[in-house]
Amino acid sequence: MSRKQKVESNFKPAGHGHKSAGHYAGKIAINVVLWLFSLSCIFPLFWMFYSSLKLKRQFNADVISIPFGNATLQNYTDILNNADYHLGESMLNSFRTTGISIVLIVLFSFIVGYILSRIRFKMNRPLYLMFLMGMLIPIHSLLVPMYVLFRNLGMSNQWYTLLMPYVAFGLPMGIFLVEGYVKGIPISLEEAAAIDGSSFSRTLWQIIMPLCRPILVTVAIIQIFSCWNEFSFALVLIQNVHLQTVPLALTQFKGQFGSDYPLQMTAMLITMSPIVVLYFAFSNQIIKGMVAGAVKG
Amino acid sequence: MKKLFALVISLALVLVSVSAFAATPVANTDLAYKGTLTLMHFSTSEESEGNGGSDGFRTTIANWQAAHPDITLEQDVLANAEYKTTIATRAAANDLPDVFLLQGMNTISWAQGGLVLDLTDIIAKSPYYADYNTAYFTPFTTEGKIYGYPVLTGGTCTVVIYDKAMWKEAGFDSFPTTWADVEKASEYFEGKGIDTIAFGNGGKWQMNSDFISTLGNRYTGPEWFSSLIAKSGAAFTDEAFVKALTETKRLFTETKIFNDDFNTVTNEDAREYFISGDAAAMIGGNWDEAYIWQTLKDTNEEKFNNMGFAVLPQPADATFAPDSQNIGLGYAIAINPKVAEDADKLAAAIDLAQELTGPAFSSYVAENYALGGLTAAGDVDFSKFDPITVAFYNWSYVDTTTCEIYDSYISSAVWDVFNTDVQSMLNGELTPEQVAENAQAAYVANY
Repeated sequence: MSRKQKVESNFKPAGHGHKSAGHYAGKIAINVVLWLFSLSCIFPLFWMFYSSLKLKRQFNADVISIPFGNATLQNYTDILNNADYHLGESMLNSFRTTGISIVLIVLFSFIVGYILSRIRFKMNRPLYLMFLMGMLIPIHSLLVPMYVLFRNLGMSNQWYTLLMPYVAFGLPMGIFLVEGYVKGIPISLEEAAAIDGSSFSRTLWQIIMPLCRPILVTVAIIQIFSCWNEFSFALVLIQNVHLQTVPLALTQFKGQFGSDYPLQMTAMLITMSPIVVLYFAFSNQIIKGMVAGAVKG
Repeated sequence: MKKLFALVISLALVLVSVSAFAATPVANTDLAYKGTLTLMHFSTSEESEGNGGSDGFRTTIANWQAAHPDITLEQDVLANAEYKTTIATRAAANDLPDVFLLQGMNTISWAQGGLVLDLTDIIAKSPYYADYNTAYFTPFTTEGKIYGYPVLTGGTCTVVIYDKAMWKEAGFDSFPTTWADVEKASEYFEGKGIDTIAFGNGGKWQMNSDFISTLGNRYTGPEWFSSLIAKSGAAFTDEAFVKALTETKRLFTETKIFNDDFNTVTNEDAREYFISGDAAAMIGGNWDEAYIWQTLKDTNEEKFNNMGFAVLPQPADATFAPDSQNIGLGYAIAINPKVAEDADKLAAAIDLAQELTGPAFSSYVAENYALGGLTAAGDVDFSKFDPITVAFYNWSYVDTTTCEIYDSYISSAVWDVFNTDVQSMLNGELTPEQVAENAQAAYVANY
């Protein structure tokens, strides 16, 4: 036994020493790869920032150079002083539409996902499939019928117009994720709650919903991106410039035969700044949510 | 009519040397209509920066609104690409605004669908009719009926912008009139390590709008394209057009005239090659000229003063109009037929359309930008413009003959196929005959 232990102890330092060099080399290699990957993610933002400090001519002459010495805030002053751009208004519109849509998507996804997961009824699977089909329909094929529908109902060009398509098209993904997640929660929890006298609604809101928090955060994150960036419905259903959302307002910087890219990047930086602040404020929660989504979804 | 227009412009140029007049105000017509008029267009604030047509359009709208305070003009203003998507959706839903911009290539299908009002008689009664350049109505005319007032400014889509000093050094006092001479010049410029002519076809539309549309006319003549529009016998596979494609392929792939990366960079890159002196010339549209003009004026006075303009050189085997360039108005103001249900509202819509294309607009763009639109500008003071601007005005409207801009007509479905195939042809993946056959198939299927 002691001989065996001695052999092992002789072996380990040698092995450990050899593994240590390889281990560190591997670590360095992995770190280099991760650094390169991180830089590839961060560089576009950095490029956008320093390009926003160039004028159109400087940018067109050399798209990648850093404007050492001749950086200018002209684009920022142009945008903030030109009322035609109405970026502040469009940001408020985007916040309102996205915020309300997310609350409704998360709420309805949770309720419908839970019911489809737990309650057996005749139309359960057909209903589930019907919701899932919402993910398969290309949005562009619905633009004309949706436009006609909203116009005939007198619901186009209102502050609430975009809420309905956003919620409707956000639900399939939300229901799909919640339904799968709830299936992983032991049903004995609900049975125990029932034995202890908890009502259905209390079990739903106070026991199941907190357990579903990671997947609901995932749904919210995915849909925030989706609603904030949505373009097609906003383009077709909104005609009033004062109701435009951010992606629509950003199209102003494109010309028919050329674009003012530095001005466009400046506008993008201004409009994305609240989202970036929110991201850093809630980064822990967002990462937890995304990990939960990755595992369960 | 073109000669008459040229004469009118020439007379105007003579007159302005001795006189100066303010821009014509919007006519203060007494309109009975007191309600809302919806207008959809793509002259955004950004678009109007340095774009005389858009600036003039926005200015005239504001002046018309000020002249008619009892009418609420509700504007839906989108960037051009988004405008096209939205107006197509609204056309499909038969819910177009009262007044909007009709793209030439949509005229036939929208007229057949009853989406645009027949304006033939209304235009004939326009108080400005005598001053209209009626050639601009062609893309908006089908079966003898006119469906729009051509709007914004008529700018060329194919101009050779060159540096006179560089070409003089190469032994040319003016830009060569034949491709054979350009090939000779390319040997000199290659020795200097610069491109002879810069071109950018990265967006695929440039080769069509800025090159083949004019070069094709040199081989086929204008009747061929008129026949293609009217579906009266001409085909993309006709020998003359295939010859134009073959010459295009030869010039871009078998000579050293153009920059090597012409099929990947855009016109925005090509004009930078010219500005920086990496190319002795560039081929582009009036929008490229405007950018180069502004940039060189601000940064390089010597090069600015050496700016020259020329038409595409003539191929050796081409037989039509060697001084032609494609110019036109791609959009027209159209009126929703539903507006005609209210005579007063229709009168207001017609008045708006007439003013947006009439002397108030044309005098504004002429006096501020030296540009022309549907209506002759009349007496304009050109003396305040620099010689380069006047030279470009003369080149655009007086000294050259005109031909049609291909993609103002037919169908975007056809041009999408054609533009993609031409790019492939210039990459060596397709022959000119294959490009022509594919375009003809798309034409038969979609037009």
